[in-house]
Amino acid sequence: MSRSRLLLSGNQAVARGAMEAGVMIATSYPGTPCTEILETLSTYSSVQAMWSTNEKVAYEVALGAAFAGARSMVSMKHVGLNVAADPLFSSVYTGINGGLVVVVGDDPSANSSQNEQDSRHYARAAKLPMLEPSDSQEAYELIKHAFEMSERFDTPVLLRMTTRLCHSKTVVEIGPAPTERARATGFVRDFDKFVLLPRQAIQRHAVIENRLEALAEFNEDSPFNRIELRDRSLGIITSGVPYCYSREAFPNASVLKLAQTFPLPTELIRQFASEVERILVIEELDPFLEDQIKALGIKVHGKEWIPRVGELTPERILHSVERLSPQPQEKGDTTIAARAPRICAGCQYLGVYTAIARLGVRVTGDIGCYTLGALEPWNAIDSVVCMGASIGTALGMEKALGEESHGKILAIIGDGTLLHSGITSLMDLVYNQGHCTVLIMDNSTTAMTGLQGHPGNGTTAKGLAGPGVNIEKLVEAIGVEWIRIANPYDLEQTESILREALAHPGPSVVISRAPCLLLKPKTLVQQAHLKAEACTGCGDCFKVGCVAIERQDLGGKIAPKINLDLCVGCTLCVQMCPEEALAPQAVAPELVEIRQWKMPLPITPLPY
Amino acid sequence: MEDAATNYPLTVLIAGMGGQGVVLAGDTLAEAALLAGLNVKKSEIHGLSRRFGSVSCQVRIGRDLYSPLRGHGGVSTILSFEGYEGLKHLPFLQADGVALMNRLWSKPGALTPAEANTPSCVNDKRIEWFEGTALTHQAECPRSLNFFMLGVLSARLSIDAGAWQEALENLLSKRSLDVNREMFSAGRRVATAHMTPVPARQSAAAPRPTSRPSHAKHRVAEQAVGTTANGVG
Repeated sequence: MSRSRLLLSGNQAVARGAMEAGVMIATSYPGTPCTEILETLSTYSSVQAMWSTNEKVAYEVALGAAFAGARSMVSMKHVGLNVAADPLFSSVYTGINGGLVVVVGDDPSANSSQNEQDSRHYARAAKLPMLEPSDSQEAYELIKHAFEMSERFDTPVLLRMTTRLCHSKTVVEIGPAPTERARATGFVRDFDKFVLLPRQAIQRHAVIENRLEALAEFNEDSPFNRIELRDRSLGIITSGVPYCYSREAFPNASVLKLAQTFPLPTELIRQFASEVERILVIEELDPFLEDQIKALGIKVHGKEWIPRVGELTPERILHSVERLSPQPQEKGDTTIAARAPRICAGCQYLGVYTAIARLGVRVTGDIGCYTLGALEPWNAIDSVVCMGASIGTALGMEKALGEESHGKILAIIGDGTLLHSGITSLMDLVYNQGHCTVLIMDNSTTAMTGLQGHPGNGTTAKGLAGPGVNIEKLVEAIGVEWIRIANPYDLEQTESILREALAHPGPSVVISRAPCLLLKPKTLVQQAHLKAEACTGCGDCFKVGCVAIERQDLGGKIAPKINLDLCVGCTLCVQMCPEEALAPQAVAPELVEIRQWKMPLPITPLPY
Repeated sequence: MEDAATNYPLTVLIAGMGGQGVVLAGDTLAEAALLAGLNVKKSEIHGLSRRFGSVSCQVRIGRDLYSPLRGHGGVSTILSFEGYEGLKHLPFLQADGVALMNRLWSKPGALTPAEANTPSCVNDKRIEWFEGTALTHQAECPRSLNFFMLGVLSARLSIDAGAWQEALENLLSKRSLDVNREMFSAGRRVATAHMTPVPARQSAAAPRPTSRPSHAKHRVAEQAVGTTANGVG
């Protein structure tokens, strides 16, 4: 079915616009809120879409493609841009050949992130132009504009999104796909441009400063910035999704809506300032626009009213301005307990964390579904910082605490995260003769973000199968001499292997291996059942932390109640029960189909 | 859309737990409104919420829409698949709004003992309760609760039946279309019967069941609507 008027998320709109602009090479590392950009691009036959090992690699691959004269783009979440910052800064010096667009998704309110950074500062720090769309239609148009700007000014262009834009669906009028397949124009050696030796770098820095002036000049006439004059007693300067909130909160106010927010169109801002009585700058997170506008000598209001922390809404803006004080975040009725996300019923992590909880060791954690092990009932993780941080922080802790910490520090990391950025730290652990134990939880996928392929499982974004990294051989090659593989569904075995590993002098690695249940659902053959008369109400089964184990009051004792819509029959609770009150029972064949529907359904494909 | 000008803009907040199909229900509502010729904005949060956490999305329907979401006091209808999730979002509801809630209580923080600690807002006059969980279990398709509740919502919107049908067809896989369509119709019937007096315009828009349910097991009785919140805890 082919329609030109579609309801697209910001992510889908960016992908569609890039495809229409003739993007050839697209790279990414999955991460909320930007994951669906590459997922959508991978459905277009004209685009070579690739998941990369990490964001730095993704950036470099896209840059290389741009050097070779292809239109290319790289997308990532905000913290991913920190990983990719090194090539980002230098690529502004080299410039490009084919257009290069960098899409970054910030996450105000940290819905699914470890921080709430404002990535707009990167545009200023790395000195590259930045565009901020406010809805899907604009995202679709601005990505095309970004490719043209990139080639016209010989620079990467930053397209900055936020979670609200990435995941909101609004109507987009799409255009036709290009009829001709894009081709790379080829790489031409240019020593002074592409080889950043110190002498070349300083020359290129001068080029950048001139380029920024030209970009500011260009921005004065951009058709994507606009002044909307209404009531002139209040003028709002805004960009991105906060534009939508501002229109809703102050429908009669005049607005200067900026699309290119770096470098700013100073004349346009001065002109707007002369048309209105008072100016309010409405932006999420940091006073990025506000500080620059104040530096122009223009008097504006902004962050003294508009909250810096958390996502805005029309109501938050209104309340902040009316009451002249920051408002709490809108999280609904806080008297009702928050519903924390849970590890899936029957996931390998349940077994791993149940075992870890018995060890009484310090655990440095990492980023993935398994971060949830920091919560009740396991409380099994003591620190979570960023992708790949578990091993380095464990080593640092050990070195600081000295010999008495040997055997008492465990770093836990998933297979995807290990390959993303944990592997260099593991080398460091061996090189600097640490004694920590590293537990690699290998579920053969990037589960948290929706089952993307990675170098470990070998499946590419286009669905091609490859051999995949052999993790135990990799770990061995690094120089780890003590390596064991544990079955996380066997509690006793997992616990004893971990104890042995911790007791081993020198670095040790345990790999707990079981594929993610969402990737490879087990055929349902059995489920746990309670023999109520045998249950003493000791509560050991609750220590597994399984969502399928609910609670019921059986004549004064709190007994488990197995939710058969969720139980996959992993038997972890059965292993925990000291009284044999829980036992596996075969599932009647006619019930298998109904209960197999327990897993979250896959993401709905696009309507075209 | 003869009454689009009076009833819109409309902001629907759909709330539930990860795995209940909140996002798909929101997508279907947005698609139906789009097919009915209305402007739509939809807002959702992915990520951690997939793992049984809270999930909510907002669908805004109307002509002059700017923001993809509204904050406290800005939502006209709450559609909730679970009790606590619905109650938690009541601050978002306008004073004259309505909360259509499925009777299912899944206590947040499943590890806290099951002591009854009912929030007082459960008696809010704007709440209407529906027996979605009981009925979909009875029909042996508990996974279709989201479409049952969407059917409940549909009885209050002037989006014609044809647009709903097309939206269901566009968004659902062949495998799940029939059963979800049946549960959608069941929800719509239950809600239509529940509304007294039935506004003439909306009853005209309610679909006749296109055919008898293909399997007897998916048949749903029409009586199951309550107005009190029993069984909290």
